[in-house]
Amino acid sequence: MQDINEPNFIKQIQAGDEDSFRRLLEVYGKTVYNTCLNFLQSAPDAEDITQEVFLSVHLSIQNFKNDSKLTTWIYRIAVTKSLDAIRMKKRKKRFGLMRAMFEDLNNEPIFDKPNFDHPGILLENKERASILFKAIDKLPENQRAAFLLNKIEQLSYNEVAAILQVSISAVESLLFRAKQNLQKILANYYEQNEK
Amino acid sequence: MISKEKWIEDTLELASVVRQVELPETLQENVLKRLPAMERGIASLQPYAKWTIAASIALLIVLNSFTFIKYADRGNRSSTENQANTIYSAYFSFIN
Repeated sequence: MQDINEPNFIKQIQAGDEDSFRRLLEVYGKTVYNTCLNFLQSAPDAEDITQEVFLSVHLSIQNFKNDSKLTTWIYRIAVTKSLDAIRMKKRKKRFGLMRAMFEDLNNEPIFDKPNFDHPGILLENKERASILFKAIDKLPENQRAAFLLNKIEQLSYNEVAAILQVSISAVESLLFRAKQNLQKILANYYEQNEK
Repeated sequence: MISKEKWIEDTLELASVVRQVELPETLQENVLKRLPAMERGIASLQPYAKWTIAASIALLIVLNSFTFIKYADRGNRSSTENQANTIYSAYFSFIN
């Protein structure tokens, strides 16, 4: 991501300069959208949350102090908003499950998440990538965040630590556990489907 | 046929080949469209919203304190009345 962490640029946005905010959108829009897409595994949801992220940035830029990089701060908002949206979806899913117990929904498997067809994956890898994304979806939140930021967004341990506000050793541990869990989930899948 | 371990490793490796997707065309415009509306909302609220919220909280505290004091007092009074009634009914119990 191109970094524009210049105090003057931030001051201009804080002063309400629309052109600077437009520039911020141009520089960070793609990254925020891709982060949200990887977390939410749905293009329309990612679009909604990206909008929320920038509205949030616009609202709280006044409180931004240069104690972290602008990139880190925006990433943090994107991760938090995406995880909130996932939690909200899960709550809705639980409510839907309860409703289905009382209503006849013709036995439709409405709760199964559809396979995620990531637009950034080559055609020959699509099937296996959707298995990987389903497995990632089963990870605990912090492991999922660390894995997605490090492995897919290709951020360094330092950057992931700054975004998640944990130590570097905590990031290492999260990644180690994420990989272990993913191996277990994938092994399970392999036993059931690929063997 | 590939082994299980190889299949798992290959699948995990896919995480590093995910390419960045272009931003949907309308997204930037949608964000910019939502900003003025949001600003207007905030601007129209700011001058008096602070005082309205403060006044509401103060009123809530006053009403709660008033109700609490009133009911605490009533509780005390009714317990002394109950005590007095017990003494009188014991005193005049020979009538029944």
